[in-house]
Amino acid sequence: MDPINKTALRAAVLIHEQMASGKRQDASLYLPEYTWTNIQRLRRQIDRARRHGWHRAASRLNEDLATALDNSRRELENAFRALKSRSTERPVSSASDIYRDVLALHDEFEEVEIELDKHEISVTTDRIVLEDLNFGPFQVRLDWHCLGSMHAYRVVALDPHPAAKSDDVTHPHVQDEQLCEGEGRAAIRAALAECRLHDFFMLVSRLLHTYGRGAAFVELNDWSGVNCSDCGATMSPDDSYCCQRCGSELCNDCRQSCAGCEESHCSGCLSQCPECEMDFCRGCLEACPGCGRKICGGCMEDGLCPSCREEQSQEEKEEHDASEGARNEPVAPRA
Amino acid sequence: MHKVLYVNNDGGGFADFVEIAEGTTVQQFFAERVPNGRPQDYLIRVNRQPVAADQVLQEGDRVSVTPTKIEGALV
Repeated sequence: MDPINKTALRAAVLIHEQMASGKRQDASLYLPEYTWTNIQRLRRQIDRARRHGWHRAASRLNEDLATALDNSRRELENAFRALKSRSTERPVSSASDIYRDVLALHDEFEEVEIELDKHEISVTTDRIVLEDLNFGPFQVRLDWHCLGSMHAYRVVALDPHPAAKSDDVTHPHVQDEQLCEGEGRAAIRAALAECRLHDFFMLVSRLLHTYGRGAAFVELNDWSGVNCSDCGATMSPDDSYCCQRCGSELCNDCRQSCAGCEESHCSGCLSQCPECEMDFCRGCLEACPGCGRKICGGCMEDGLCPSCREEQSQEEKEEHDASEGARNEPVAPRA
Repeated sequence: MHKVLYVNNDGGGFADFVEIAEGTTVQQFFAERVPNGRPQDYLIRVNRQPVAADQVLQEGDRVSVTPTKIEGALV
């Protein structure tokens, strides 16, 4: 038996002893609380997007909501099946199961390390790349003395590429070496409670390879700062402005204020009043009932644009002149 | 009938012994257990090893199904 196998066997025996010492905990029944929270959050975001007239955002959020509802349905089904299975025989990892788990980790991960003195077993993932952003490899370190606790493991960035806004965030779902497990929470807790180490490390690895948009410590779009939607420049999120119409992020140079309501807007959401040539948001421009041109309220005269107003005045004058002319015409004497 | 250990790492993450008909392949087992899933969206392992879809499951096998994409979160 080679040295790594001896170490793996020793670790398996120690882990099994730890489990057998009464510290093992059954995984609590998982209910889709996270997914439900996500559903409620999405519903609020959709309502907000609709109130602001952000139709594209509302449409995208609707798709996310459909996915979240489907996830919730699936998780409820799993919870039902898990509850039903409790009345039957439950598998418990034996020392040989744990040993086989440890050996199999070598087939899945680039590096597996066992430190008996630190009671830790760790695996190293491949380089994590999410939407073309490189986060480098991660080491997942499990302390088998803490198997029953919430912080039994740490996720350590080996070649950190942290978010611009926080060095502690090394992955969209990792902060201070703690992974926010989201959809994987129940499965990870169950794997730890039953000491299924192979499943545990696989689950954490898959989480690290997945980006949950809209539920990250720092979103990928904001990882290196925030990009201005007008000029594309990157800036700190604290220095950005939000277009009040479409919600896009803007830098200070590209932020433009509506000459009417004075709120910040991007260039795409402002239009020039053809009369005064100042920039206004759509809410501050009115269509002239005469010609349909959109002009600002300040340029409206008696509810019409200046051209239509002038035309109307001219017509009124001509009518007036005509009626005056008719009145001044000599009246033929009665016969 | 055979008895295999089925580890479902999707959602609840439960592990349970289930009975299957003799001659059941990995592909058939997956289709039966994850009816709405596509095999390419899961890591399917038998006795902790990747296997061919047409491999016939044996008594006492350990079959694990792990989604390739699992979203983390803030909560």
